[in-house]
Amino acid sequence: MSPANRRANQRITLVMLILVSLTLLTLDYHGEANKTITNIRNGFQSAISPIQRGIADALHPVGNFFAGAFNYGSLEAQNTALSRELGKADRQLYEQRAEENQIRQVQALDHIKFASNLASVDAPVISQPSSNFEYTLEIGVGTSQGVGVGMPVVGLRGYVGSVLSASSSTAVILLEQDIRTHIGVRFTQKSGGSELGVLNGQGDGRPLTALVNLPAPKKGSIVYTSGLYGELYPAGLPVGVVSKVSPASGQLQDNVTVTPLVNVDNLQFVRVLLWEPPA
Amino acid sequence: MGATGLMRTKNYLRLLAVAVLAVLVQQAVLNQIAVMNAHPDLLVLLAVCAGVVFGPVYGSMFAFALGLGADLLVNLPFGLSCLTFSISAFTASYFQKIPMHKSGVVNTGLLCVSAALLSTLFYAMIATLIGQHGMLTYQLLKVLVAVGVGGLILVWPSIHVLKWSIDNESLHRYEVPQGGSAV
Repeated sequence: MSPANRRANQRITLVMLILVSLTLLTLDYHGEANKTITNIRNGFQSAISPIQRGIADALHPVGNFFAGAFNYGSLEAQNTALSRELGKADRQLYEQRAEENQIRQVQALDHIKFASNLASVDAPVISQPSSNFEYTLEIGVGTSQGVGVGMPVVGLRGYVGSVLSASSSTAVILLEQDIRTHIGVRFTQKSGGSELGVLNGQGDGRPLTALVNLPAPKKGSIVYTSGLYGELYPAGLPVGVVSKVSPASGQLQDNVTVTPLVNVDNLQFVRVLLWEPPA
Repeated sequence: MGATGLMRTKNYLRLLAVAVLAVLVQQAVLNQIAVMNAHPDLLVLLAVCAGVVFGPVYGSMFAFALGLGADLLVNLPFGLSCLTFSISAFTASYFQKIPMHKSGVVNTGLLCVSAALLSTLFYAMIATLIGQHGMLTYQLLKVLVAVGVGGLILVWPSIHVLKWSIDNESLHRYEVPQGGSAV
Protein backbone atom coordinates (compact mmCIF):
# COMPACT_ATOMS: atom_id res chain seq x y z
CA MET A 1 0.00 0.00 0.00
CA SER A 2 1.39 3.41 -0.93
CA PRO A 3 1.98 5.97 1.85
CA ALA A 4 -0.83 8.18 0.50
CA ASN A 5 -3.31 5.29 0.50
CA ARG A 6 -2.13 4.24 3.94
CA ARG A 7 -2.74 7.71 5.34
CA ALA A 8 -6.16 7.86 3.70
CA ASN A 9 -7.01 4.46 5.18
CA GLN A 10 -5.99 5.67 8.65
CA ARG A 11 -8.08 8.82 8.38
CA ILE A 12 -11.12 6.96 7.12
CA THR A 13 -10.88 4.56 10.07
CA LEU A 14 -10.68 7.43 12.55
CA VAL A 15 -13.57 9.31 10.93
CA MET A 16 -15.70 6.16 10.98
CA LEU A 17 -14.97 5.55 14.67
CA ILE A 18 -15.76 9.19 15.50
CA LEU A 19 -19.03 8.98 13.59
CA VAL A 20 -20.06 5.77 15.37
CA SER A 21 -19.18 7.34 18.74
CA LEU A 22 -21.18 10.47 17.96
CA THR A 23 -24.12 8.33 16.85
CA LEU A 24 -24.02 6.44 20.15
CA LEU A 25 -23.83 9.72 22.06
CA THR A 26 -26.74 11.18 20.13
CA LEU A 27 -28.90 8.08 20.58
CA ASP A 28 -28.17 8.09 24.33
CA TYR A 29 -28.69 11.85 24.63
CA HIS A 30 -32.02 11.94 22.83
CA GLY A 31 -33.35 8.92 24.66
CA GLU A 32 -34.24 6.72 21.65
CA ALA A 33 -31.79 4.03 22.66
CA ASN A 34 -31.60 4.99 26.30
CA LYS A 35 -33.63 2.03 27.54
CA THR A 36 -31.64 -0.43 25.43
CA ILE A 37 -28.34 1.05 26.63
CA THR A 38 -29.54 0.89 30.25
CA ASN A 39 -30.52 -2.76 29.79
CA ILE A 40 -27.14 -3.59 28.25
CA ARG A 41 -25.35 -1.76 31.08
CA ASN A 42 -27.40 -3.60 33.71
CA GLY A 43 -26.79 -6.95 32.00
CA PHE A 44 -23.08 -6.25 31.77
CA GLN A 45 -22.88 -5.25 35.43
CA SER A 46 -24.85 -8.34 36.45
CA ALA A 47 -22.46 -10.50 34.47
CA ILE A 48 -19.33 -9.16 36.11
CA SER A 49 -20.77 -8.70 39.60
CA PRO A 50 -19.92 -12.23 40.91
CA ILE A 51 -16.24 -11.75 40.02
CA GLN A 52 -16.33 -8.21 41.29
CA ARG A 53 -17.93 -9.30 44.56
CA GLY A 54 -15.34 -12.03 45.07
CA ILE A 55 -12.44 -9.70 44.47
CA ALA A 56 -14.05 -6.96 46.58
CA ASP A 57 -14.38 -9.41 49.51
CA ALA A 58 -10.74 -10.34 49.17
CA LEU A 59 -9.58 -6.75 48.82
CA HIS A 60 -11.65 -4.98 51.47
CA PRO A 61 -8.74 -5.03 53.92
CA VAL A 62 -6.54 -3.45 51.24
CA GLY A 63 -9.18 -0.83 50.53
CA ASN A 64 -9.40 -0.10 54.23
CA PHE A 65 -5.65 0.29 54.37
CA PHE A 66 -5.75 2.97 51.67
CA ALA A 67 -8.75 4.67 53.22
CA GLY A 68 -6.96 4.74 56.56
CA ALA A 69 -3.74 6.04 55.09
CA PHE A 70 -5.19 8.79 52.94
CA ASN A 71 -8.28 9.88 54.88
CA TYR A 72 -6.54 9.89 58.22
CA GLY A 73 -7.85 13.29 59.30
CA SER A 74 -11.48 12.66 58.43
CA LEU A 75 -12.09 9.20 59.86
CA GLU A 76 -14.01 8.69 63.04
CA ALA A 77 -12.37 7.89 66.33
CA GLN A 78 -12.19 4.14 65.95
CA ASN A 79 -10.73 4.35 62.48
CA THR A 80 -8.22 6.96 63.63
CA ALA A 81 -7.10 4.69 66.43
CA LEU A 82 -6.90 1.85 63.97
CA SER A 83 -4.84 3.93 61.56
CA ARG A 84 -2.29 4.72 64.30
CA GLU A 85 -1.78 1.03 64.82
CA LEU A 86 -1.40 0.23 61.13
CA GLY A 87 2.34 0.55 61.14
CA LYS A 88 2.85 -2.19 63.69
CA ALA A 89 -0.19 -4.36 63.18
CA ASP A 90 0.40 -7.48 61.15
CA ARG A 91 -1.88 -8.54 58.32
CA GLN A 92 -3.77 -11.10 60.33
CA LEU A 93 -4.69 -8.63 63.02
CA TYR A 94 -5.70 -6.10 60.41
CA GLU A 95 -8.01 -8.51 58.61
CA GLN A 96 -9.61 -9.43 61.90
CA ARG A 97 -10.29 -5.77 62.64
CA ALA A 98 -11.70 -5.27 59.15
CA GLU A 99 -14.10 -8.15 59.66
CA GLU A 100 -15.15 -6.79 63.04
CA ASN A 101 -15.74 -3.42 61.43
CA GLN A 102 -17.97 -5.03 58.82
CA ILE A 103 -19.96 -6.82 61.49
CA ARG A 104 -20.32 -3.57 63.44
CA GLN A 105 -21.58 -1.77 60.34
CA VAL A 106 -24.17 -4.48 59.65
CA GLN A 107 -25.32 -4.55 63.27
CA ALA A 108 -25.40 -0.77 63.41
CA LEU A 109 -27.94 -0.66 60.59
CA ASP A 110 -30.40 -2.31 62.97
CA HIS A 111 -30.20 0.75 65.19
CA ILE A 112 -31.26 3.25 62.55
CA LYS A 113 -33.87 5.45 64.20
CA PHE A 114 -35.40 7.05 61.12
CA ALA A 115 -37.60 5.59 58.39
CA SER A 116 -38.40 2.64 60.63
CA ASN A 117 -41.88 2.38 59.08
CA LEU A 118 -40.48 1.73 55.61
CA ALA A 119 -39.56 -1.69 54.23
CA SER A 120 -35.85 -1.95 53.56
CA VAL A 121 -33.05 -4.23 52.47
CA ASP A 122 -29.44 -4.11 53.68
CA ALA A 123 -26.67 -4.31 51.12
CA PRO A 124 -22.89 -4.60 51.00
CA VAL A 125 -20.94 -1.99 49.05
CA ILE A 126 -19.14 -3.97 46.36
CA SER A 127 -17.47 -1.27 44.33
CA GLN A 128 -16.36 2.33 44.39
CA PRO A 129 -17.21 4.63 41.44
CA SER A 130 -16.18 3.30 38.05
CA SER A 131 -15.57 6.77 36.70
CA ASN A 132 -13.41 9.45 38.25
CA PHE A 133 -16.10 11.95 37.28
CA GLU A 134 -19.14 10.63 39.10
CA TYR A 135 -19.94 9.98 42.74
CA THR A 136 -21.49 6.55 42.86
CA LEU A 137 -21.21 3.28 44.74
CA GLU A 138 -22.19 -0.15 43.59
CA ILE A 139 -24.07 -2.34 46.03
CA GLY A 140 -24.74 -6.07 46.08
CA VAL A 141 -28.54 -6.07 45.86
CA GLY A 142 -30.72 -5.49 42.83
CA THR A 143 -34.17 -5.81 41.36
CA SER A 144 -34.48 -9.42 42.55
CA GLN A 145 -34.45 -8.08 46.12
CA GLY A 146 -37.04 -5.41 45.27
CA VAL A 147 -34.60 -2.57 44.67
CA GLY A 148 -35.68 -0.05 42.03
CA VAL A 149 -34.47 3.18 40.48
CA GLY A 150 -34.97 6.25 42.66
CA MET A 151 -35.13 4.44 46.00
CA PRO A 152 -33.35 6.26 48.82
CA VAL A 153 -30.28 4.69 50.43
CA VAL A 154 -29.23 5.43 54.00
CA GLY A 155 -26.38 4.67 56.34
CA LEU A 156 -26.40 4.58 60.11
CA ARG A 157 -26.46 8.37 60.50
CA GLY A 158 -28.52 9.44 57.54
CA TYR A 159 -29.09 9.78 53.82
CA VAL A 160 -26.38 8.44 51.51
CA GLY A 161 -27.90 8.70 48.03
CA SER A 162 -30.49 7.19 45.74
CA VAL A 163 -30.53 4.25 43.35
CA LEU A 164 -29.44 5.38 39.89
CA SER A 165 -29.72 2.06 38.11
CA ALA A 166 -30.41 -1.52 39.12
CA SER A 167 -29.71 -4.88 37.57
CA SER A 168 -31.00 -8.17 38.95
CA SER A 169 -28.21 -8.54 41.51
CA THR A 170 -26.51 -5.14 41.78
CA ALA A 171 -27.46 -1.48 41.92
CA VAL A 172 -25.61 1.79 41.48
CA ILE A 173 -26.20 4.51 44.06
CA LEU A 174 -25.89 8.16 43.10
CA LEU A 175 -24.23 9.70 46.16
CA GLU A 176 -25.54 12.93 47.60
CA GLN A 177 -22.30 14.77 46.73
CA ASP A 178 -22.76 14.12 43.00
CA ILE A 179 -23.57 17.21 40.96
CA ARG A 180 -26.72 15.51 39.64
CA THR A 181 -28.22 15.32 43.15
CA HIS A 182 -31.00 17.70 44.17
CA ILE A 183 -32.71 17.02 47.50
CA GLY A 184 -35.75 18.80 48.84
CA VAL A 185 -35.00 19.56 52.50
CA ARG A 186 -36.29 21.37 55.54
CA PHE A 187 -33.99 23.73 57.48
CA THR A 188 -34.40 24.71 61.09
CA GLN A 189 -34.19 28.47 61.55
CA LYS A 190 -32.66 30.31 64.49
CA SER A 191 -36.16 31.40 65.47
CA GLY A 192 -37.21 27.76 65.78
CA GLY A 193 -39.31 27.79 62.63
CA SER A 194 -38.48 25.89 59.50
CA GLU A 195 -37.82 26.76 55.88
CA LEU A 196 -37.80 24.63 52.75
CA GLY A 197 -34.95 24.53 50.31
CA VAL A 198 -33.24 22.40 47.69
CA LEU A 199 -29.78 21.04 48.44
CA ASN A 200 -27.53 20.61 45.43
CA GLY A 201 -24.55 18.27 45.17
CA GLN A 202 -21.33 20.01 44.20
CA GLY A 203 -19.23 17.07 43.05
CA ASP A 204 -15.53 17.14 43.88
CA GLY A 205 -16.22 15.69 47.37
CA ARG A 206 -17.46 19.09 48.53
CA PRO A 207 -20.40 19.67 50.89
CA LEU A 208 -23.87 20.36 49.51
CA THR A 209 -25.20 23.88 49.11
CA ALA A 210 -28.57 25.60 48.97
CA LEU A 211 -30.06 29.05 48.71
CA VAL A 212 -32.43 29.51 51.62
CA ASN A 213 -34.86 32.34 52.34
CA LEU A 214 -34.16 34.50 55.38
CA PRO A 215 -34.20 34.27 58.34
CA ALA A 216 -31.06 32.17 58.24
CA PRO A 217 -30.99 28.51 59.30
CA LYS A 218 -29.29 27.67 62.56
CA LYS A 219 -25.64 26.65 62.20
CA GLY A 220 -25.11 23.13 63.51
CA SER A 221 -28.73 22.14 63.00
CA ILE A 222 -29.58 18.92 61.20
CA VAL A 223 -31.25 19.13 57.79
CA TYR A 224 -33.98 16.62 56.96
CA THR A 225 -35.63 15.66 53.67
CA SER A 226 -38.89 17.53 53.26
CA GLY A 227 -40.68 14.95 51.15
CA LEU A 228 -42.02 17.85 49.09
CA TYR A 229 -39.54 18.46 46.25
CA GLY A 230 -41.30 16.39 43.62
CA GLU A 231 -41.60 13.80 46.42
CA LEU A 232 -38.37 12.16 45.29
CA TYR A 233 -37.55 11.19 48.87
CA PRO A 234 -39.67 10.33 51.90
CA ALA A 235 -39.83 13.01 54.57
CA GLY A 236 -37.65 12.97 57.68
CA LEU A 237 -34.40 11.43 56.48
CA PRO A 238 -31.42 13.24 58.07
CA VAL A 239 -29.18 14.55 55.29
CA GLY A 240 -26.49 16.69 56.87
CA VAL A 241 -25.50 19.43 59.29
CA VAL A 242 -25.55 23.15 58.47
CA SER A 243 -21.85 23.99 58.55
CA LYS A 244 -21.77 27.47 57.03
CA VAL A 245 -24.22 30.28 56.41
CA SER A 246 -23.17 33.25 54.30
CA PRO A 247 -25.16 36.07 52.71
CA ALA A 248 -26.13 35.58 49.07
CA SER A 249 -25.82 38.39 46.54
CA GLY A 250 -29.46 39.38 47.07
CA GLN A 251 -30.83 40.51 50.43
CA LEU A 252 -33.53 37.90 50.81
CA GLN A 253 -31.56 34.66 50.87
CA ASP A 254 -28.50 33.03 52.41
CA ASN A 255 -26.03 30.59 50.92
CA VAL A 256 -26.12 27.55 53.17
CA THR A 257 -23.47 24.82 53.17
CA VAL A 258 -24.45 21.42 54.50
CA THR A 259 -21.91 18.74 55.43
CA PRO A 260 -23.25 15.20 54.87
CA LEU A 261 -23.79 13.11 58.00
CA VAL A 262 -22.47 9.93 56.41
CA ASN A 263 -18.81 9.59 55.48
CA VAL A 264 -18.87 7.41 52.38
CA ASP A 265 -15.11 6.85 52.23
CA ASN A 266 -15.18 3.71 54.32
CA LEU A 267 -18.79 2.67 53.92
CA GLN A 268 -19.22 -1.08 53.65
CA PHE A 269 -22.93 -1.61 54.24
CA VAL A 270 -25.97 0.52 53.47
CA ARG A 271 -29.73 0.17 53.75
CA VAL A 272 -31.97 0.64 50.72
CA LEU A 273 -35.42 1.93 51.64
CA LEU A 274 -37.95 0.19 49.42
CA TRP A 275 -39.78 3.44 48.82
CA GLU A 276 -40.43 4.48 45.27
CA PRO A 277 -41.10 8.05 44.26
CA PRO A 278 -44.64 8.44 42.91
CA ALA A 279 -44.76 8.20 39.11
CA MET B 1 -8.23 -22.17 7.71
CA GLY B 2 -4.58 -21.46 6.83
CA ALA B 3 -1.73 -20.62 9.17
CA THR B 4 -2.34 -16.88 8.72
CA GLY B 5 -6.01 -17.30 9.51
CA LEU B 6 -5.24 -19.28 12.65
CA MET B 7 -2.72 -16.67 13.74
CA ARG B 8 -5.27 -13.91 13.18
CA THR B 9 -7.94 -15.77 15.15
CA LYS B 10 -5.45 -16.33 17.96
CA ASN B 11 -4.64 -12.61 17.98
CA TYR B 12 -8.31 -11.63 18.15
CA LEU B 13 -8.96 -14.05 21.00
CA ARG B 14 -5.98 -12.75 22.92
CA LEU B 15 -7.05 -9.15 22.35
CA LEU B 16 -10.56 -9.98 23.54
CA ALA B 17 -9.11 -11.65 26.64
CA VAL B 18 -6.94 -8.59 27.33
CA ALA B 19 -9.92 -6.23 26.97
CA VAL B 20 -12.15 -8.31 29.26
CA LEU B 21 -9.39 -8.71 31.83
CA ALA B 22 -8.69 -4.97 31.76
CA VAL B 23 -12.35 -4.16 32.42
CA LEU B 24 -12.43 -6.62 35.34
CA VAL B 25 -9.19 -5.33 36.85
CA GLN B 26 -10.42 -1.77 36.54
CA GLN B 27 -13.81 -2.49 38.07
CA ALA B 28 -12.81 -4.92 40.80
CA VAL B 29 -9.35 -3.74 41.80
CA LEU B 30 -8.34 -0.27 40.65
CA ASN B 31 -11.67 1.39 41.43
CA GLN B 32 -11.21 0.33 45.05
CA ILE B 33 -7.85 2.10 45.31
CA ALA B 34 -9.31 5.59 45.34
CA VAL B 35 -7.25 8.35 46.87
CA MET B 36 -9.14 11.63 47.37
CA ASN B 37 -12.00 10.23 45.25
CA ALA B 38 -9.73 9.53 42.28
CA HIS B 39 -8.40 6.21 41.08
CA PRO B 40 -5.98 5.02 38.38
CA ASP B 41 -7.52 4.42 34.96
CA LEU B 42 -6.21 1.31 33.26
CA LEU B 43 -8.65 1.47 30.35
CA VAL B 44 -7.55 4.86 29.07
CA LEU B 45 -3.92 3.85 29.49
CA LEU B 46 -4.44 0.61 27.59
CA ALA B 47 -6.23 2.52 24.83
CA VAL B 48 -3.32 4.88 24.19
CA CYS B 49 -0.81 2.04 24.55
CA ALA B 50 -2.77 0.20 21.85
CA GLY B 51 -2.30 3.21 19.58
CA VAL B 52 1.44 3.10 20.15
CA VAL B 53 1.80 -0.69 19.88
CA PHE B 54 -0.69 -1.48 17.08
CA GLY B 55 -0.55 1.74 15.08
CA PRO B 56 -3.34 4.20 14.23
CA VAL B 57 -5.84 1.87 12.54
CA TYR B 58 -5.84 -1.22 14.75
CA GLY B 59 -4.90 0.84 17.80
CA SER B 60 -7.87 3.17 17.49
CA MET B 61 -10.19 0.24 16.77
CA PHE B 62 -9.04 -1.59 19.88
CA ALA B 63 -9.30 1.67 21.85
CA PHE B 64 -12.87 2.09 20.60
CA ALA B 65 -13.72 -1.41 21.86
CA LEU B 66 -12.18 -0.60 25.25
CA GLY B 67 -14.20 2.62 25.29
CA LEU B 68 -17.38 0.58 24.84
CA GLY B 69 -16.39 -1.46 27.90
CA ALA B 70 -15.64 1.68 29.88
CA ASP B 71 -18.97 3.24 28.88
CA LEU B 72 -20.83 0.16 30.08
CA LEU B 73 -19.30 0.55 33.53
CA VAL B 74 -20.40 4.14 34.18
CA ASN B 75 -23.61 6.12 34.15
CA LEU B 76 -22.27 8.91 32.00
CA PRO B 77 -23.07 9.60 28.32
CA PHE B 78 -22.71 6.41 26.30
CA GLY B 79 -20.12 6.72 23.54
CA LEU B 80 -18.01 9.38 25.23
CA SER B 81 -15.19 6.99 26.16
CA CYS B 82 -15.32 5.43 22.68
CA LEU B 83 -14.84 8.87 21.16
CA THR B 84 -12.02 10.03 23.40
CA PHE B 85 -10.20 6.68 23.51
CA SER B 86 -10.13 6.22 19.75
CA ILE B 87 -8.98 9.79 19.09
CA SER B 88 -6.32 9.50 21.83
CA ALA B 89 -5.02 6.18 20.50
CA PHE B 90 -4.87 7.58 16.99
CA THR B 91 -3.02 10.70 18.17
CA ALA B 92 -0.62 8.72 20.38
CA SER B 93 0.30 6.52 17.43
CA TYR B 94 1.31 9.59 15.46
CA PHE B 95 3.72 10.68 18.17
CA GLN B 96 5.36 7.26 18.12
CA LYS B 97 7.31 8.10 14.99
CA ILE B 98 10.04 5.52 15.41
CA PRO B 99 9.72 1.82 16.23
CA MET B 100 9.35 1.04 19.91
CA HIS B 101 12.49 -1.01 20.17
CA LYS B 102 14.48 2.02 18.94
CA SER B 103 12.68 4.77 20.85
CA GLY B 104 13.42 3.16 24.21
CA VAL B 105 11.13 1.75 26.84
CA VAL B 106 11.15 4.87 28.99
CA ASN B 107 10.23 7.23 26.14
CA THR B 108 7.42 4.97 24.99
CA GLY B 109 6.08 4.68 28.53
CA LEU B 110 6.18 8.41 29.12
CA LEU B 111 4.46 9.03 25.79
CA CYS B 112 1.64 6.67 26.80
CA VAL B 113 1.19 8.24 30.24
CA SER B 114 1.16 11.75 28.75
CA ALA B 115 -1.39 10.65 26.16
CA ALA B 116 -3.54 9.08 28.90
CA LEU B 117 -3.50 12.37 30.82
CA LEU B 118 -4.47 14.34 27.72
CA SER B 119 -7.20 11.82 27.00
CA THR B 120 -8.63 12.28 30.51
CA LEU B 121 -8.57 16.04 30.05
CA PHE B 122 -10.19 15.66 26.64
CA TYR B 123 -12.91 13.45 28.15
CA ALA B 124 -13.72 16.12 30.76
CA MET B 125 -13.82 18.85 28.13
CA ILE B 126 -16.07 16.96 25.71
CA ALA B 127 -18.34 15.93 28.60
CA THR B 128 -18.64 19.57 29.65
CA LEU B 129 -19.40 20.57 26.06
CA ILE B 130 -22.32 18.13 25.90
CA GLY B 131 -23.78 19.36 29.15
CA GLN B 132 -22.21 17.25 31.94
CA HIS B 133 -21.48 19.73 34.69
CA GLY B 134 -18.86 19.39 37.40
CA MET B 135 -16.12 17.95 35.19
CA LEU B 136 -13.76 20.90 34.96
CA THR B 137 -13.25 21.38 38.67
CA TYR B 138 -10.53 20.89 41.24
CA GLN B 139 -11.46 17.20 41.12
CA LEU B 140 -9.98 17.04 37.61
CA LEU B 141 -6.53 17.87 39.01
CA LYS B 142 -6.82 15.02 41.53
CA VAL B 143 -7.96 12.69 38.75
CA LEU B 144 -4.99 13.68 36.58
CA VAL B 145 -2.61 12.98 39.46
CA ALA B 146 -4.20 9.57 40.07
CA VAL B 147 -4.18 8.69 36.35
CA GLY B 148 -0.59 9.89 36.01
CA VAL B 149 0.80 8.05 39.02
CA GLY B 150 -1.22 4.93 38.26
CA GLY B 151 -0.12 5.20 34.63
CA LEU B 152 3.56 5.26 35.53
CA ILE B 153 3.09 2.01 37.44
CA LEU B 154 0.87 0.28 34.89
CA VAL B 155 2.24 1.48 31.57
CA TRP B 156 5.04 -1.03 31.07
CA PRO B 157 2.96 -4.07 32.03
CA SER B 158 0.24 -2.76 29.69
CA ILE B 159 2.63 -2.42 26.75
CA HIS B 160 4.00 -5.91 27.37
CA VAL B 161 0.54 -7.45 27.59
CA LEU B 162 -0.47 -5.77 24.33
CA LYS B 163 2.72 -6.96 22.62
CA TRP B 164 2.02 -10.48 23.89
CA SER B 165 -1.54 -10.35 22.56
CA ILE B 166 -0.42 -10.24 18.93
CA ASP B 167 2.22 -12.40 17.36
CA ASN B 168 5.65 -11.05 16.55
CA GLU B 169 5.10 -10.89 12.81
CA SER B 170 1.97 -8.78 13.17
CA LEU B 171 3.69 -6.56 15.69
CA HIS B 172 6.47 -5.69 13.27
CA ARG B 173 3.87 -5.02 10.59
CA TYR B 174 2.11 -2.52 12.91
CA GLU B 175 5.27 -0.77 14.05
CA VAL B 176 5.85 2.69 12.68
CA PRO B 177 8.63 2.99 10.11
CA GLN B 178 11.21 5.75 10.43
CA GLY B 179 9.69 9.05 9.34
CA GLY B 180 6.31 7.50 8.60
CA SER B 181 3.35 6.01 10.34
CA ALA B 182 2.16 2.47 10.94
CA VAL B 183 -0.17 0.27 8.88
